[in-house]
Parts: sequence; structure tokens; C-alpha cells
Amino acid sequence: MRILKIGLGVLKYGFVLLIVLLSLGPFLWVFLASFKTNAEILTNSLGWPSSFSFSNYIMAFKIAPISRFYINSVIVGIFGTLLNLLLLGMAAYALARFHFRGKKLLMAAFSLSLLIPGAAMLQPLYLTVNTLGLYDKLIGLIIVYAGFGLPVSLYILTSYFLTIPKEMEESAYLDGASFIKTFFKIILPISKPGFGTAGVMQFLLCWNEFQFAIILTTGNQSRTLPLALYYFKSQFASDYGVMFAATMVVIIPSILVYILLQKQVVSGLAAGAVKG
Amino acid sequence: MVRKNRRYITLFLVPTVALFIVVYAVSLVILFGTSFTEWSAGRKPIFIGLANYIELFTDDSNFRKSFLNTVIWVFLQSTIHVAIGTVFAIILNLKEFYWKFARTVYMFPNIISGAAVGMLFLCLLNPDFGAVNSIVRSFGNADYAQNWFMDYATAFLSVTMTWLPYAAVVTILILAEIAAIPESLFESARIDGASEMKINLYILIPMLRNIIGTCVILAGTSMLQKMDIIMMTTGGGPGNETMNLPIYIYKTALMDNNFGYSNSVGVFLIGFGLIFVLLCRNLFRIGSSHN
Amino acid sequence: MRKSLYKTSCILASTLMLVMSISACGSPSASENSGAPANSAPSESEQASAAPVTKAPVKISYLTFRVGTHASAKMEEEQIKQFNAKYGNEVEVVVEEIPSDSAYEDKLKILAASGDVPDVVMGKNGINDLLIKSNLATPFNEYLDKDPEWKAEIGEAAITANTRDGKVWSISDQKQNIGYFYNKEMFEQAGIKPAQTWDEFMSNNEKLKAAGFIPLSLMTGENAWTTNLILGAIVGTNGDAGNSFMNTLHPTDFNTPEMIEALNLMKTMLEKYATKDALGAGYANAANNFCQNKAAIIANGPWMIGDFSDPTKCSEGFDKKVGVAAFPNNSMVSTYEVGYMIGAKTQETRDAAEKFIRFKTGIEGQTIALEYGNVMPVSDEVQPSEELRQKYPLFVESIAVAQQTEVHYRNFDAIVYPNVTDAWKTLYPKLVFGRSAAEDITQELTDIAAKSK
Repeated sequence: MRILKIGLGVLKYGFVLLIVLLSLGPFLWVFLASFKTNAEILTNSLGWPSSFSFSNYIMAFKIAPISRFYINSVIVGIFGTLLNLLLLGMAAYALARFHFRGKKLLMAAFSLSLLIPGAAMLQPLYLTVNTLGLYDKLIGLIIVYAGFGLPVSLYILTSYFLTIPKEMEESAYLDGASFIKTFFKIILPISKPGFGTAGVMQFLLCWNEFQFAIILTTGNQSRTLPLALYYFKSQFASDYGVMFAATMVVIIPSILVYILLQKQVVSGLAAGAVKG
Repeated sequence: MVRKNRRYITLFLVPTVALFIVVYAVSLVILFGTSFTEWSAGRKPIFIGLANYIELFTDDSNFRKSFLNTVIWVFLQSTIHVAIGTVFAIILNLKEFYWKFARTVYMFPNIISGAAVGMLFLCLLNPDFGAVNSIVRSFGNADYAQNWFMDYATAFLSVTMTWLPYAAVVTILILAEIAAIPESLFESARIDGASEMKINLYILIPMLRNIIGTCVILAGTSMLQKMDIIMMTTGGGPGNETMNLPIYIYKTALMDNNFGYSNSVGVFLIGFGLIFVLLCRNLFRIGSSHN
Repeated sequence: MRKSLYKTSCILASTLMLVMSISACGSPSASENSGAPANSAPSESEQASAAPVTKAPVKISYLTFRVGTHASAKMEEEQIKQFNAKYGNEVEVVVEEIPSDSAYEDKLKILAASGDVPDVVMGKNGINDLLIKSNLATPFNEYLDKDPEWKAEIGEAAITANTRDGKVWSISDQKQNIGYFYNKEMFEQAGIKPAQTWDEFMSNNEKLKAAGFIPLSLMTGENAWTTNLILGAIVGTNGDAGNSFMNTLHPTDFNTPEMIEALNLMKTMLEKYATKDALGAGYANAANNFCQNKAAIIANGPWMIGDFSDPTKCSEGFDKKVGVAAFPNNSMVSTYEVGYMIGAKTQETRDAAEKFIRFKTGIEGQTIALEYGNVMPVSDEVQPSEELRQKYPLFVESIAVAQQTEVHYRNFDAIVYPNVTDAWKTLYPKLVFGRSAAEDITQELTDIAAKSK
């Protein structure tokens, strides 16, 4: 019994250590490489950089319109996430809580959006966005991304709502609260972890999407950050250091946002707030 | 209750239906419609019935290989990947000293865009200066130069390893769900003297049925869209060793300029995905609540 | 929820501020849209005061992938700047920057499929065929007839290269004369000179290897550029059949003895004489291997010369070590780029697009390309300036080398269908790891070419 326990403990810590190494290793490697010169990356790929100079970072900002793209990405990220959470929160609630005709069909249709291959959507979506007059506008990207996040948010939120005991709302209804009031006052507050998780997923989608961002915009005034990365990946480009610096510039904010948001994500409910 | 609330249910659903139509409807119609045509950019589609589908199933070894790879990846992702994430969530839920740190760090690779992850692994696994080979060499094997992404022996595995262990999304989904389970459910078991292991196995995991099912669907279907990392690392090679359906669709449409054929592959992919989703929904009885 | 939303927006807002402060101390002039809008506003008002009744400039759209770290980014910027200075009151070029060449091709294919192409289009890698097929391009014949001077500046050869059935669909902006660069120190130590025959080329490789160097900087990722230049050279110098193969647009049958022979030779080079990362490497890897003194030879065009004296890319004093040579059998890759096409739909924008293209491909544009991008001009009239000769003696040398060559052929990217270009990266590992013989690879290439629609 004791041997089993020790064995399990070793296994557990070994597993955790492996996961941490696999996650942190690549990130640290890029971080260090972003301070190295080309020659250092090629000859001394594991070691420390000879100096922590920011010249790669300065070059990165010079080569691509990073600051402009940053602002756009923040706008698209925030509003794409809010729009998605609002709409999908409502839809998921209706689908999780009530039975009505056509519900299965609706769920199947929404599931389709999880499956349509991106390459098959490029041209049709360009046509749609152009027809609606949303081409080359941030609002166009916001709507499209809210749509892209539809299935994931729907699944996460539906699944979360199913965990919440029905008694919560029933008592509210008995107290005479309206449908809308119940949703916003009772359901939303206790679904914070669900919304937090869906929100993080949605934000990352908005922050990282590249293919449609380039198809649906033309001017730098409506382009987002992932495009900046490709300024360093031209066919005849060879400067690794600057490329890694640009990668860090793109990654770090999303990591910060995640660290700040994760309290919301996994905070959970105050013990005893919900009695099953 | 339903009758009374029908108006509100409609009100809650309409915006999302509208969003769905704007973003997906045109694509779906074009996708299905043109899959029965011969259509390339610059030409009008010509109706050819089932010809695309017949060619697909009878005379296309690249398609068969892509489909096989896709199936393998969907399977691995919906089993091993989800299992890794679940186990890690349960370990983190013990809230030992490292749990916050580990939870944050685990998310890093998922935060980074697929293209950047691809670029990163391409450098880490570079046979010449990559970190992995450098580590092997530092243990004495000075000439070690495994070409991870191009060698037939390792290509498939290398590509798989760029996403299989990174199940942080599963982990946070499950942690959020655990947080919503009332503590009281475990307390009585603890009083009865059940070990943590037993509590996890017999009380916790069954309660996570819905969310694990959701994770299986999300993780599995994400493999039906996986493209950027593969494009960045192997491009589907060597040969068609790491080709999957999304890449095959992309190549037939934009490289061969054969949109009609590409869309018939797209329809096939959707059909396969729907079967997978329905299977999972039934398997995990998703949609029924706990009580 | 409201509280958390508030918190969230606070966090996001502070990130935003952080970002703005970073960018503020980074560089204030992060390359703005290099198109007219920003620049032309003041000049427009000046114009207006000078000549009160001028028409508003005609707007034309132009997509370019020559941005960021692209080798031709500087010349593109300068060409547009000078065009705006000269014609800004007549034509306003709205520039869309598309970082990365493949994203450019994808976007143009989507636009072409929707019938919505920009007014000025670079027709590289099959885009020209797509536009011609889709009836989206306007030929230049009338414009050229009206302007014999411009026609002369481009030259008969460059015009013929882009003529199909008597119609000139695009105007080439540059000539590609490509041989290879080599590391003089390594050659000296191995006791060799640039090879005259392919046998000598291979024995040179062997001598370099014996002297402790890696002979070739090859890559098979992306479009297998440096590898395929050599492959094309082997085919192109293999008798009349090989040479005419490499001068044929859109070859459909790759099952030729010349192709098979060349692939077998290339297999040997990849196995024995290339860097360890050649299979799957991108251009960046190949260029760095050469620039950091890891490999002795890289096949590439003269636009790379600028990199040799750039300390962030190459080791200090590297430019002094580099020599340039033609391929064996006194031969060289020589092609005219596809260049620019007119995609504009109305007469007015067509004329404006033609004006922009005329500037870019005329003497002025060619001069800028030469001075800012080390790009070989299509016209003999354009000669490198004294300053350029001083700064890049290697460039002058490469012109001299090109003039002595007798056998010419095009490169694979310029002749094959785009899906074939895309296939090399998966086929080379197949060949080298022995999964397929050269004969099977040529059959596959043939099959792939047949699939191009």
C-alpha cells in the first residue's frame, strides 16, 4: 500500500514536471533566441545570448507596422469576445434549459460550423463580407470572428449551464422574476467560470487568426497583429533574431491577458453558493 | 414553463441564428452546390453529377491517405489528448504548491498562434541547430542529426507531438467544471473514509461526463481544421505522410485550382465530422443534465 | 458578471496603454501605408493653389508582397515614393501590403475567383494564367504601340517572353540572371575553381568535403529554391532536349531522361554534400548556412548581394569572401519576370494603371530597382551608378559573368504550374529517403501537372 502510494506520487510529480517542461521549454527557447544574433542562433542554439540587447525588438517595430496592428487587435479581441459571449450566452441558455421543437435540428446546424473546412470558406466569406459592405472594416472582422467562435462557445456554455441546478432559477421564478431578469441576475453571475473559459478561447481566436484577416482587409488601418509576423517571413528573408523578437511581441500580451483573466476562469463558485 | 417562455427562447436564439447565417450559410450553400460541378476559378461551374465523389472514392490515393491520417489524428486527440488534460486537471485540483504556476505555464503553447507554434517547432527540431538535436549531441553523440520532420520514421510522430500533449484547454474546462460541483458531494464520501483516488474515480469523473464529452468533441473536431502547423513544418510531406483532409482541400482548391473537387472533399469532411459529433453526443449523453 | 467585465476591460485597457508606450519608444514611424493618402494630402493642396482646376487623382489599387524583410521591399517603397512625387496629382496608388508571398498568391486567387482583382497585379507563379483565363486582364498592345520609347526601354526579348497569341499580357520589371555564389576562402583551401562541367562540379564537391567543408547550401522546403536552381541548370545544360525542356512554359511530361538524370544527381548532392538540415529547410536556413560560413556554395540571384555586407545577416567582412560564378557548361538561368498586369475594369483606371506600370518598368523604375534592390534591369540602357559599383563590386562582377555565358534556360518556378512548385517540398524527401526512384518522382510530377486546372 505504501509502495503504491509512493509510486503514484512519483508518477504524479513526473507527469507534472514533464508537462511544465514541454510547455515552458519552447517558449523559453524563443525568448532567448529573440535576443540573439543570427550567428548565435545557428552556432549556440542552447546557450544564453551574448547580451540582452533590444536591437532585434527595435528592428521588429521598424519593419512591420506593429503598433497600429496592436491597437486593431485589441479592439477586435475585446469586441469580438464580448459580442460572441453575449449572443452565445443567450443561445446556449435557451438550448441547455428548454425543450422545444427543432432544438435537435438547430444543435446539428450549429455543430456544422465546427466542421466546415476553412479553405472552403475563404471565397464565400469574402463575397458575403463584401456584399454587406464590411470589407476592410474592423467590425467585419469582429462579426466574422464572433461567428468562428460560435461552436466552441456554444459547447462550453451549454455544458456549463447543464451543471447549474435547475432549482436556482425555479426559486427565482417563484419569486416572480422575469425570464430576462433571471438570466442576467441569477444565471450570468454564477456562470462566471464558463464565460471566463469561453472568453479566453474566443479572445485567443481573435488574437491569432491570420488567413481571414488578410483576405477580409486591405488597408493597414484595419489589420491585426498576426499579419505582422508574416512581415518577417518573406520568401527571401533570413533574419531569425528579428523574427523571434516579433513573435515575442505578439505572444506576450496574450500571455498577460490570460494570466490576468485566469482568476475569472477557474475561480469557481464560492463554496456553498449553490446547493445541489 | 415552455409555453410561457417561447417568446423569450426565440428572442435568445435569433441573434445567434443570424450570426450563423451571415458567417456560414453562403459557404455551406456554395460548398454543397459546387461539389457536384466541375469548377475552377475563372470558369463557370458545370454540373457533373456525382463524378467528383466517384473519383474521390475510386481513384485518389492522396485522398485516402489524407483521410486515414485525419481519422488517426481525430482518434488520438479525442482520447490521449483529452485524457492528458483530464488527469492534469485532477492533479491540479489537489491544489498542491505548484498548481497555479503549472496551470498558467501549461496554457502558453495554446496561447500562441498555430503558425507561430509551427515556426517554433521547426526551429526546435532543426536537424542542424535545433534545441532537441543539440541536447542529444551534448550527451556525447556528436554527429546526431535526426531530421525529425522529413524522415519517414519520425515525421508523423513529430507533427503529432506539436499538439497532442498541449491539452491546457481541456484542463481549464475541467477545472472550471470541478469548481462548480458543490463540495458537499465529496464530504460525505470523505467521512465514510474513501480515499481521494476513489473519490476521483467514482464520484468526480462521472460528474464530469458532460464536460469530458464536450472536450472530446472539441478536441476531435479541431483535428478536422488542423492546417497551419502542418503547413509550416512538413507541408504534408515527406510524400503524403502527414497530409490530412484540410491540407488536401487547401491544395486542390488553391494550388490545383480545382474548387469543385475540393468542395466535394469538404462535403465528405463535414459528413465525417457530423457522424463523429453525433457518436460522441450519444456516447456521453450530452445534453442531459445531472439531476 | 458586470464587475468581472469591468475588470476585464480595465486589464485590456492597461495592456493597450502598455503597448502604446512600447511602440512610442520603439519607432514613431513604423512603416505607414506607403501609398499616397498620407503623403499626397499636403502636395494636393499645393497643387490646388498652383493650378486651381485640376481633376481629383484617379485611384488605383495595388497589392504588393514586397514589404517587411522582403529583399525588394526598399525598391518597392522607393518606386512608389518617386511615382507619387511625379504623378501624385494624377494618379493615387492605394497600396495594400500583403506580407509573405504565399499569402499574396492565396489572396489574389480568392479575388480572381470573385472577379475582383486589383487594378495593378504582379502576375507571379501562375497568377497571370489565372487572370488571362478569367478575362480579368487587359493586354498592353495598344499602349505599347502608342509609346515606342517605352517599348524600347523594355526590349523585344522581355516583351516576347510575356506574349501569348500576339497579346502582351504583362510587362516584365526585371531580368533574372542566376548562377551561384561561392566562398572564395573555402574554394582556395580545397584548391578548386568554379567548375566548367558537371563532373568537375561533383569532384569540386568531393574536394570541398575532403577539406572539411560542407559544399552546398541546399533547401527543399518552401519552393525548394536554391535546390531547384541547380536542378534546372543540370537539365538545361543536358543537350538540346534538356535545354528546350527548361525553356518550355508549362511542361506536362516530366518523364524525360534529362529530368531523371538530374534528379539522381541531385539526390547524391542532398545525401553527401549538403547541410544536415537541407531536407525541409527554408530559404532562411540555406541563406544563413552560406552567410555564416557553414556551406561553400549557394545558388541565388544578385538581389542577395546586399545581404553579404549586412552584419545582421552575414558575418563581418563576408562580402569580401564571396565570388560569383556561372553554372557549368558556361550557362546561366536567365528569365524575365512575369511583372505587372492591368486588372483595372474602367478605361480611366486602366490608363492610370498603365501609367504606374510604365513608370515602374521604364528607365526610371528599372534604375530604382537596380540601385535599391540589386535587381538586374531588362534594358541595357540602365547601367549601375558609380556609387553602386563601389558599394557592390560583386554585382558588377555578376553582370560580367552573365555576359560571358552562352547557354540559357529558365528556372522551374517560372515554367511549371503552381501546384508543381508546391509539390517539390514533399517529393524531395521521398527521393532522398529512397521511397521513390527518380523515375517515380518524374511520373508524380507529370500527374500533378495534369491536375492543374
